[in-house]
Amino acid sequence: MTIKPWKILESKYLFPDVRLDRCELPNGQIIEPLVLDYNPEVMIFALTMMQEVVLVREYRHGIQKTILQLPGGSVDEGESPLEAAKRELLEETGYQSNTFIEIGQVNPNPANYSNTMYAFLALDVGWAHDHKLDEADQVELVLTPFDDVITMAKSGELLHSLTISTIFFVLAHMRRII
Amino acid sequence: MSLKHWKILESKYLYKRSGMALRVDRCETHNGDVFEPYVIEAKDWVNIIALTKEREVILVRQYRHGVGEVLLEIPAGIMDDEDESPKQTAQRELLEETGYTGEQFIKIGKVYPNPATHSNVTYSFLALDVEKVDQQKLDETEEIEVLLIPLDEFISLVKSGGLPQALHVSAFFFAMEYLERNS
Repeated sequence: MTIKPWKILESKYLFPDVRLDRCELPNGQIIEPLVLDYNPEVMIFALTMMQEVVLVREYRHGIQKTILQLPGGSVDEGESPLEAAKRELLEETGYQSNTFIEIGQVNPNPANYSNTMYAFLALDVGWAHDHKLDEADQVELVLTPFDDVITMAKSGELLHSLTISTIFFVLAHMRRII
Repeated sequence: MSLKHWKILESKYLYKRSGMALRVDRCETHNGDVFEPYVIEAKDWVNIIALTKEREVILVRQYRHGVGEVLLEIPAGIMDDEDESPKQTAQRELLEETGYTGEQFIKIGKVYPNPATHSNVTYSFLALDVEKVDQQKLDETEEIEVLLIPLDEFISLVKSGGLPQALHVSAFFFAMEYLERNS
């Protein structure tokens, strides 16, 4: 069985990162899907020397709720995923590390997303004392022991898809999953 | 510390289709800043890790337009208005996409696909002892190839990055947790 791609007849941008395509399917049908043409993203599982994980609690407007997740963000133009991971961790949490390990890659949802999320493990992270947080009033830091984070992920307390995926890659990297 | 929600002053829609809409909100933050984020309003999604009696996993290959490639995935779908529960959606989607079903559909997890810009939830199910009972019944827009692989091979595949999509890695994480706890 050969599965054929859809033919794009026309594309327009509704936002700089939201594309509306007019597509012809292999059976001739015409549909208009949205594509989220986001920059690559990064997410960081940052572990302190005390084996605590840096979690962040933020208001997220899509669900209009506050949720707990791992820090992360977009890769800027001209930046590597590793550079973005270092920058995002510092900007969002004030933590930094000399050891960042790329542990996995996933697409948030390939039906509609064009981008990749790069998952990093940062070891022995430390607080950058001279760093002033830009988003201090919007991001609450929650340092949580490693084992508690794993328990929270397994019991359904962490509700962020990219966070769960990153935790899976951490456990796979540490050979702590099957 | 209390994190403040944004106040929505006004909303308008730029795109509306079945299952997905693009809404623009005019929002005011707690410190008075006004800006206009967009929200993808989507119906809830489900995905299914389905295991046969022989401990094989049901996988599907299909074209995914976001990346413009044919990808290997677990069966998944969108909740219809007629579906009474996410479980019913999972049963319907597995049967339609693959022709397989079973007696046991266990809800193993719930995640937000992207809480920053999407309004919806994805529910993950583990279906045990599924059997082929029917032919595929695909929508006009679907072209799906069904594959079965042994669970052990599937575990190695996911660990090595062979299921590169977050909602499905999350489902796999929850399924492994359930199987470990109940073995």
